[in-house]
Amino acid sequence: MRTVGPQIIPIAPVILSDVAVFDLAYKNYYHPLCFYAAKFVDADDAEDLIENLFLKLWNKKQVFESPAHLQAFLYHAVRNACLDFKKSKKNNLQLHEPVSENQPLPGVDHLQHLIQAEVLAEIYRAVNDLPSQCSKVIRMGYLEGFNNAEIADEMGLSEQTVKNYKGRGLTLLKDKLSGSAFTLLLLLVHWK
Amino acid sequence: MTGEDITGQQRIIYLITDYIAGRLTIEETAELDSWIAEEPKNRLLFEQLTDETYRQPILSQWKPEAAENSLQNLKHKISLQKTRTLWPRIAAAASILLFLSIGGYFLLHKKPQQQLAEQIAPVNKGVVLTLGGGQQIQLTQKHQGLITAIGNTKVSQSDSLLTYNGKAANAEPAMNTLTNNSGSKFTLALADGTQVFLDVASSITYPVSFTGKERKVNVVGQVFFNVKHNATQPFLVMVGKEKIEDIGTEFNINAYANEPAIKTTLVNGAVKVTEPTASVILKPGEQVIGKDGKVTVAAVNLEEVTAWLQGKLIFHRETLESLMGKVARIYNVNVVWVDDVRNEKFGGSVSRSKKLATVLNYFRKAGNVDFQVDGNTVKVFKKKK
Repeated sequence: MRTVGPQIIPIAPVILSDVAVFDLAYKNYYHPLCFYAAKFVDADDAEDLIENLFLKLWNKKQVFESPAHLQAFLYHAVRNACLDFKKSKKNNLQLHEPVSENQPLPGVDHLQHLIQAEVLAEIYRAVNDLPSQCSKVIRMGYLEGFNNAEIADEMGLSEQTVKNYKGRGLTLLKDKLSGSAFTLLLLLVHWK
Repeated sequence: MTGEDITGQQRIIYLITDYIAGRLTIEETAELDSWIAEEPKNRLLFEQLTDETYRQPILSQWKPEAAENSLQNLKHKISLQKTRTLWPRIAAAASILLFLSIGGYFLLHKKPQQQLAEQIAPVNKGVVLTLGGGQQIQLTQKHQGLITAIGNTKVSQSDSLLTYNGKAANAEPAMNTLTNNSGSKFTLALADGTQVFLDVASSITYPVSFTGKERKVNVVGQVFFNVKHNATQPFLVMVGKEKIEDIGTEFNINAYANEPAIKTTLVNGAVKVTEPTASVILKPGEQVIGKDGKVTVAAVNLEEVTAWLQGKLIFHRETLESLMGKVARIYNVNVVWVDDVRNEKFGGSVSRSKKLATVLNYFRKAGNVDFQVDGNTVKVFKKKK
């Protein structure tokens, strides 16, 4: 069973005291965890909570038995941190609760939010794991909806180079995702 | 969250992702289908995640640069605590020395500015009502009662709402002007029942009652209209040389003097927009941009255009130049471009009641830009690597 994409943290166990592993985990989980936390608390507070959580993990030199274990732990810890944060705020008798831009939808529970965050994250990781220029072209083209001319302008490249990067990026994405079956290629084509 | 719980979710994450990528086996597809059928909320979630129009706006805001910045931030925190645990005394001594040598300078020069940046709140200079004779009345947002009477018309206030009531006089009605100088919206109910919402640094000039063949008002800045339709007495909004004619309508006008164009957006009904050399009838969801006497029409995101009515700033791929224009008005600050990062683009949503520092931090975290606040001037830099 592939629970965390092979392109993310291919080795198990996950040793967070290794700087390279720590950096990779941080970059791969920062946005989805912020997104998830913002369902409970204000977006600004969410970012602080994530930073503090990773600071604690670094200090503890935590080791996880597998990427899946890390994933489960992170979401569990973020949710607890958010709930604690809200509780402490209430105790401070805050009169003006900051306006949260991501109010939880009634009836949608935190496990659903977790699925939301991680499905989006899988796509994000695959695209951003490409070599930097390629990744930027793919991101602007398929995620941010810029056209070739706009990308060329923004990155100071010719339109032909942008097209080349797009082609190369899609090929790389295809290779990145495990062999036999389809790839994100299809998904990217959907976005067009 | 128990171990079993999360394992179950991880399986679903895998199934949905691979469904999107189109590489599920027949058995896996059946497994996903049965999960979807389990509960209505599962189906909802599945439909949401497989809808690109749901995914794209979220993913476009997940900038790798923002994650990288946050990581550097965290590493800075880590390096600070390392110094403390290894060299607690030296660090303490060093920090005292540091404080003595340069701290004084910062206290005298930098600190007050930093504090100021923290404290700058949305501008709150009240609302001014200018009567026909030029007499000005300063309104505060928290007030209830009669403000004045003009002929047969009574003008009364209820917090952030000013209402005109009364029968049209035979004589030519007086013209009043209402100007909002505060960051939160102010509402005006005209004598005909039309509602007008004024954003910061915006004003409207209008007759105290409506006589004659048409109802004509002039506006500057950002104004939202909810017009009480009356086919026999059309409602006209003049913005400089542009004329906007209501045909039963809710619409938004954005026409600040320092913006290059007049933008009229239709939410409901129909309006006719006439520039000196062109004219167009808008459909709901369309925006007309009037510039140099010409008009261009495009479909826009209504949530974005009308976010100010909810006290929010919502933006997609908006340039920093345009965003800072809004920030300048809301916080009554000047913007100085030290580095030309005017075309950096941002997407997101912020509450307009937040402090200036919070808003600037948002941009700092999301993009390649940095700010320094000196008094009421915001200097904009490219972020140093």
